[in-house]
Amino acid sequence: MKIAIASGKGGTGKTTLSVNLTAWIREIADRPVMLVDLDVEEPNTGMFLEGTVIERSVRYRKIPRWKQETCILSGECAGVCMYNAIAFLGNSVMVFPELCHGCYACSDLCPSHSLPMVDDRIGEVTLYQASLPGSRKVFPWIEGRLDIGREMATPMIARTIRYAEDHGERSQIILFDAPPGTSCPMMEAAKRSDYLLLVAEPTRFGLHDLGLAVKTLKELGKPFAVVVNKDDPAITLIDDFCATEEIRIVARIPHLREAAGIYAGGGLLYGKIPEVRREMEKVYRHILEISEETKTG
Amino acid sequence: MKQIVIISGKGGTGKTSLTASFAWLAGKNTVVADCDVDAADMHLVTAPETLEKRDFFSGYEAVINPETCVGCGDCVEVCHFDAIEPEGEVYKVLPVECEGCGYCARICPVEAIEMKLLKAGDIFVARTRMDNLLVHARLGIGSDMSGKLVAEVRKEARQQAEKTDVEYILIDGSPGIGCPVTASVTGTDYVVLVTEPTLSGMHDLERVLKVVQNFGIPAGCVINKADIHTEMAGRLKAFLKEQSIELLAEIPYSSVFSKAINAGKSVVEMEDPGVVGRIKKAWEIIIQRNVEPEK
Repeated sequence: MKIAIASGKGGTGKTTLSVNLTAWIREIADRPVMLVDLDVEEPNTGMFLEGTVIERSVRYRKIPRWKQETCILSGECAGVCMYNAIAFLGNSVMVFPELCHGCYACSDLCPSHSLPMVDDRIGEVTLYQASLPGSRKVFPWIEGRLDIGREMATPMIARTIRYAEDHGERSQIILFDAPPGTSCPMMEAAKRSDYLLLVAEPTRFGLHDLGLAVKTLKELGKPFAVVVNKDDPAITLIDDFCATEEIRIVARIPHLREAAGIYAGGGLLYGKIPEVRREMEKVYRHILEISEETKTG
Repeated sequence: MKQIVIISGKGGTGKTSLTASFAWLAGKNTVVADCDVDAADMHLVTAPETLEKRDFFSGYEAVINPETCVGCGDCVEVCHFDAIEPEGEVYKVLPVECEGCGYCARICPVEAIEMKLLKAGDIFVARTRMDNLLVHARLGIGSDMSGKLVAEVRKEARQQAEKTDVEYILIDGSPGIGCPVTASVTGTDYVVLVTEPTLSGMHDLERVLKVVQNFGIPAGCVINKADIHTEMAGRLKAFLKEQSIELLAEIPYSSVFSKAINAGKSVVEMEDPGVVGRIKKAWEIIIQRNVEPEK
């Protein structure tokens, strides 16, 4: 079962929930679990985990490359490209990789086959064996990392998910630390997940961005629930919204300055803060419930 | 006119709260461009009154006419995005998957596929209660046009700034290091980096700084929640020094940030002299670094 941990707003605690929940499931519940960092622009799960590299591999996408020798200068390629990724300059052709979506139209429709599709490096995927401090238990952890200077996060996310699917087991709980926002990168992670947990903080910014994320998931038809982070019992913004929208809140991680300090130094929270441990258990129970429902339903 | 962009790499560091504070301090001397189009929150604290609203079109989506389609399946063969599925005897396009490349429409033997221009979002020009103009946008659900929308918001902000002859454009930048952040940073005069003394904050700052350095734009840095981890704060400051980035302010951890958001205000309008004083000081330094040359 693939569960994405997402949020409309950045900095609400996606990574905190992802790493703490994964470690809790492995250490306390003693269940097999895999963590996949899909925030390929700014992958941060590594700040909180130690691991040994099992495998590291470069990921590519396909883009056209101009073959001057065979080109008959028909200009067809520039005409078919909807993204302005190809410029026909009369006696030469230029490809702009950052604009290319890899549709193959220019390559396939070139009358002289002068735009073969070639590999274009976009980033790296690393498979680690993550270990937990003071415990012998380990779990697989995958990180996708977009090369700096590359703008195409979405293909990198798709390739990281495919890699995780090839390396995960069917019975395993696979947790995705999804990219923030509601546009393409987040959608890519959401589309390939069975279920989502949206992390929200009780501020008007948090509420507004949760609203956008909820709309997106409803559009996609994906089931989800909410986890409130930095919870303040006096502020019911998120509760009121979830009540109206009939969305379940499965856990509330309290707003504690102590947590900010532990997080800053890259520490896991559930070992040190009993409230966090209790809430991780609630999230885990919810995951069990929905995976039962999926099996029987 | 000087364009100042505020970015953070990592989310939740207080970028929008700071931009709103600078907007309040700059008052009518500025046009604000909310380029965090994925999570555009500036309007929540600036109470804008919309003056203009227009549609933003970008990109296409394939639509198969079931009346004309002969079910040959050629479109499925050429689609690299798995965006076409059989439906009965004919085929249909899955809008969420379609990238709008037009390959299918081009090769369809009976011309049953039309490429429909898509509305990617709305652009608003508004007057805020801070007596400045705000250009902001709302992206359609799951639209992948955020980079282009950022460019569009900035273009509109520039036109408004020229029309009203203001000194600054303040840009609330996008998170990450991808296309939207590049579009937020390109062609600006000064970059304000907002970070926090956490491992994640440091890591994201290093990555986003490489993007900034590619453009060769001068930058200063605000460290928010500066007192949550002394050792990390020390490392962060050493890193800034090494990279020759000016430290604009160290703001202590304070609940005034979330209180201000929930009160619909910018932080500098709140009662917290320690925080407010430091933000004002940072803005003064930014102004000094962005003085227009004498004409």
